[in-house]
Amino acid sequence: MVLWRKQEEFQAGTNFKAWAFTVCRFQVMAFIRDRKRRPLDVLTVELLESFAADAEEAALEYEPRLRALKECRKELTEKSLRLLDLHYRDRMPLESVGKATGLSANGVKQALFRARRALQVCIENKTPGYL
Amino acid sequence: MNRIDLSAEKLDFIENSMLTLREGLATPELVAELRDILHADREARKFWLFTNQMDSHLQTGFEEDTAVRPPGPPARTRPRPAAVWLGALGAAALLTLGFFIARKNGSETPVPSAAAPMATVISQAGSGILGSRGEPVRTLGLGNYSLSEGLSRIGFENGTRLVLEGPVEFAILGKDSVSLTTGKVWAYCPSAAHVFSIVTPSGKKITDLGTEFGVEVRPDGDTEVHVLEGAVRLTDQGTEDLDVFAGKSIRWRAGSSGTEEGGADYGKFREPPDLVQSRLAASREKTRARNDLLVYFDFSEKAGDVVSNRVEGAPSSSNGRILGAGRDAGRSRAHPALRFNGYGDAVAFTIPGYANPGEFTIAMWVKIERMDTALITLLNSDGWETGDLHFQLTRNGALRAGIFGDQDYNTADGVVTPGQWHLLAVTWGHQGREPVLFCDGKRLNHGYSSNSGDGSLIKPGPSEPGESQIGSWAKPTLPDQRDLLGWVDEVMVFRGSLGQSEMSELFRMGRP
Repeated sequence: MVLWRKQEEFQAGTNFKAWAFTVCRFQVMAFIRDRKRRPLDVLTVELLESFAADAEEAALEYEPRLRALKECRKELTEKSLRLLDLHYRDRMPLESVGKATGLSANGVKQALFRARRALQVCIENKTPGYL
Repeated sequence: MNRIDLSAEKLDFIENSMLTLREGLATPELVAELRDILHADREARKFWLFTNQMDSHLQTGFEEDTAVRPPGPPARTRPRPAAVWLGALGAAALLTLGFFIARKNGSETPVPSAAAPMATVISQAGSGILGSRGEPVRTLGLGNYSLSEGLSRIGFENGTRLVLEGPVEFAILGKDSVSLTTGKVWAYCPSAAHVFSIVTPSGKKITDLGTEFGVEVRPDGDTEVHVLEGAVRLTDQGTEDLDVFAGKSIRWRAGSSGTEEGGADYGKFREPPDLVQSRLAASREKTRARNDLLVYFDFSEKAGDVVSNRVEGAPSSSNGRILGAGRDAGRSRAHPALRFNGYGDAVAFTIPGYANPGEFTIAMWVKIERMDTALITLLNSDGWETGDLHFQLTRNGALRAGIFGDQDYNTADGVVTPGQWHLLAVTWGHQGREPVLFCDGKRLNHGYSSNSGDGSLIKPGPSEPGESQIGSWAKPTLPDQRDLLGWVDEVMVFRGSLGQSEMSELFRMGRP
């Protein structure tokens, strides 16, 4: 909506993605600045500034990473995939995942760590040059 | 080679922080320390971005792969460039807005506006959910919705999942409440920490107490609630609250304040196939982890004539030898079942000794194709001498169990329906001679059938059944051949006698 409202500010011939990202970043910063700060909010306006360059790059790498992740999931065991699906896709807390799979909450946590690490390494290997 | 140039300590800290934030268990101190690390270390920020993006993908990026798809042209696997780009910004925005903010911060949650999303469509097959103006929706705010046919699964922030079976009309009343005007809804509420309720047209409210349950409101207003797991509380103005537990149902007529109790119908509410498969996989994992099993055949081998006893440390003699049965589709897409085609088709194995002689349970998932012989063997000792056990069906669909030297007992006819998966089970406890027979998690009444053998069995319960057979059975000195025509999916032999609640649990978890 904001991009639509601001479309007249975009100069033809310049980098549309960079312009759009800048608009988005300022909107997010304004949101963080204006709302009531809560103790468990990780990102502050100052921290967001230090993220800016890398976040833009990361956002533009969304699709290759998604493709890589889809491939990397195939290399995981059935058990790891199930744990990831229950925790992330179905948003089940660790304890509930444990009940569903017969593992302790700590066992689920360790297994998720291992699965996530395997995915991170695999994605790195499949998408060279951006990290 | 690892290109994340970050110390293992920081990497572990960030990973641990992310999981703790997701769980809603983070402290202000942990968040402050995380901020400090992110401020000071660019590699930490890059890793944080990378892993947040991965989590975003894990959370939302695979719905296309897992969703139940309606018939028709295949779903597009490559999103449009614009969608990708907006998704990228969306992921970045989610990240920068700190979507890992503790979900348990309920007191700071603003009152929702009608447009604020309360639930999201996770998957659907059929017509899809429509809003009050007939528009297709993927996110659901406060308001009225309908589904004319097929199944839709929607998810709420607190983890509750609803499966709506069209035709259904319903309204979202809030982040933890819906009203059902007409149709069927199956609800899965994984955490007792969150309360979810369904309001019916008669004003009765069903509140979950850590539950899996289904509600049907018929067009005439008659309503049924079936509790499949846990318990629900039924609240109605002017009457006392009523708690209904797993395995039970409650129903009432439109305009009547009285209610009627009965048993839960586990086949009444359709689950999406992927949920069924997840539940079956969890059931197998749970069974395999038990420490009271003597034998567990899950038939997961895709080929060969040996089926492994999955009990850890079990002797190799307890593995099964396939004497003629073939592999075929079973309840689970991941594992085949064994198909028994009658004469000679059997699996031979040895039941290892008992730690507690006399107490014993056999449970097996079976689908019968036809009942052609007077008796149909499920699991029998390979002989018929004192202490040997027989667990069989009659031609008329009754369950029958006996131990040579004692008596045989039959249930009523028609317990088993051909073409339908059943969990059939028998237990012998040390308190009495008579077996207890179960079908689909329910204890059945039985009657004396006949004397078995010479009455020489003195101690109650079976002695050592030893060599046994699943499937067709014959003894040269007996005139009859006992064939099994059908499928066997899992076989469990437990040390000790399982009770009603354990049997119900086995059935609930393993039902197809």
